[in-house]
Amino acid sequence: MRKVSKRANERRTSVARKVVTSRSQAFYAVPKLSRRIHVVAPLSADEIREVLNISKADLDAARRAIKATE
Amino acid sequence: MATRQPYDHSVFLNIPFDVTYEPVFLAIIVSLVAIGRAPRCVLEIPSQGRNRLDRILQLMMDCKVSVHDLSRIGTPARFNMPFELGIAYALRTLKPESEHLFVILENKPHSLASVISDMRAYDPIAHENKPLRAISAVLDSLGPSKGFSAQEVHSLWKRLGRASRKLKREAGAKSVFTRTVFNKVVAAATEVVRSANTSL
Repeated sequence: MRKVSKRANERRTSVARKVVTSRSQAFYAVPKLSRRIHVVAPLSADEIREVLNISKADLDAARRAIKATE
Repeated sequence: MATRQPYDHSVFLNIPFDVTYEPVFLAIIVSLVAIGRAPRCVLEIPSQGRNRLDRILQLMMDCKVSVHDLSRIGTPARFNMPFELGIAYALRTLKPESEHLFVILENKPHSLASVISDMRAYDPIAHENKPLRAISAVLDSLGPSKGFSAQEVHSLWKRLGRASRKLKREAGAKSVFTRTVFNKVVAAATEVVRSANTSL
């Protein structure tokens, strides 16, 4: 069996401890992997307007406001 | 399985109508539109003599999901938002076929634990009144695994903010919490998201 000096052994232990520490920190730091409660195929912008009954006048006003503030 | 019914895509917003809350409100609106969902709010419905609570209940029943922001229930005490969360809970429990789902937002992490501990099991998400945090909360709970990142939605939020200020000025309104401005702001959100999608 290879003889390992006391100092080298301490160094290896210290490295191992650091790894363990960072893993445990990662375990506690990372929140839940997913909070997702519901998934649906996304609607397009046009479909969303249809669902919300957005009038052409409102859409035109919105477009003008966006253009004026770009 | 993914479906494309308005009910499934409609998200009811139970939020404080407070001018200082506007940035977070706009962040929630643009996030929902960015993930292809329709933000619904009691503001969109003309009262037509109907009780506000009746309108809220009807609208909530038309939505599969509701978002309840309880970040401003402190002093002075505001009971509307917790009350409406109670309606959502009752809807989910007493009308299981509705499969109603809800997301609870809070200000600081665990701040609701002391005032409405019954809801602790539903994992409220803290946004700390920061639009980017609110965007992340919406994307995390309702977004698809692919799509806009929170930072991308944040840049859409900035564009929407500029447009909404102009829309408010044009309407002579102090906030976006009026029917006229709200409808135009949602229209602007769809337009901002559409242009971002086409430029991808």
